[in-house]
Amino acid sequence: MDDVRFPLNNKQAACNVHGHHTEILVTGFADKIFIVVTQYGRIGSLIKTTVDIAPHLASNPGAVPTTSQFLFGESTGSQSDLYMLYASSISQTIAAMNPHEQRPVILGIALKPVEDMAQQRQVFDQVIDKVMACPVW
Amino acid sequence: MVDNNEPQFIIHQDTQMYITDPIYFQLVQMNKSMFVWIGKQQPNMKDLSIAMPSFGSQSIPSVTTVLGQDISEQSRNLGRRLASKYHQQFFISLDIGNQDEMLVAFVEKKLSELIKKVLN
Repeated sequence: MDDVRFPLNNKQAACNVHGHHTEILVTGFADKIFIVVTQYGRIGSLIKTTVDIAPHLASNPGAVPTTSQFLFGESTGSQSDLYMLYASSISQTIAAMNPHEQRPVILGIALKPVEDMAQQRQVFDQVIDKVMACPVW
Repeated sequence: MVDNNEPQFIIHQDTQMYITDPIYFQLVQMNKSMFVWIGKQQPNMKDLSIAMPSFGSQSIPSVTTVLGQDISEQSRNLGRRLASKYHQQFFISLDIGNQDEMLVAFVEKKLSELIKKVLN
């Protein structure tokens, strides 16, 4: 049984963003991609995102329309609006990297609230970069 | 807590043979929270349940299914038991079918042993 490898593909990363340890875990299942992004060491909200059309059929796969829904956690308010943005952006960036990837993404996310828009943008850019450095697609 | 930009989640994996089939176990240890996936060679995340330990005057952990239907209540029952015993949040995803009761019992037994090792 030595040639049978464990079927899940896991990739981990971590970085420090504005003094907060930020943990990234990406797990490739056969039918889904599971991504955890957290500054609290645990999952706060869960969002499921699907692409509305196959990305390779879209004129710009990186702008493919997506549909997201909260499965768990706060779903109203500015923090959850931000999480929806992360969810759709992550799915769109995956589509840009691999237009044939069609698995739904389950995102478990918990980020420290940040008031300043410029700082929010910095967190966003660093997190997206780190997630894209852990591809299972 | 040491913050040195190294990932802090610990991933535990195990493979157990059930008759002739390998059953795969993955536990992701997070901050007072654990993600459990159990499945077969084609690893699907067909369902997902979340169990929260009881607190205050509540004596029973709450559990809910957020993905899939968990008609047989396998994931929820397992989550409830684990949250109660270890007083942690558990995310449970089971992909072992619900036909074979002996497989379910086998999986619970092996999972308990694995979690005991990890959390003690």
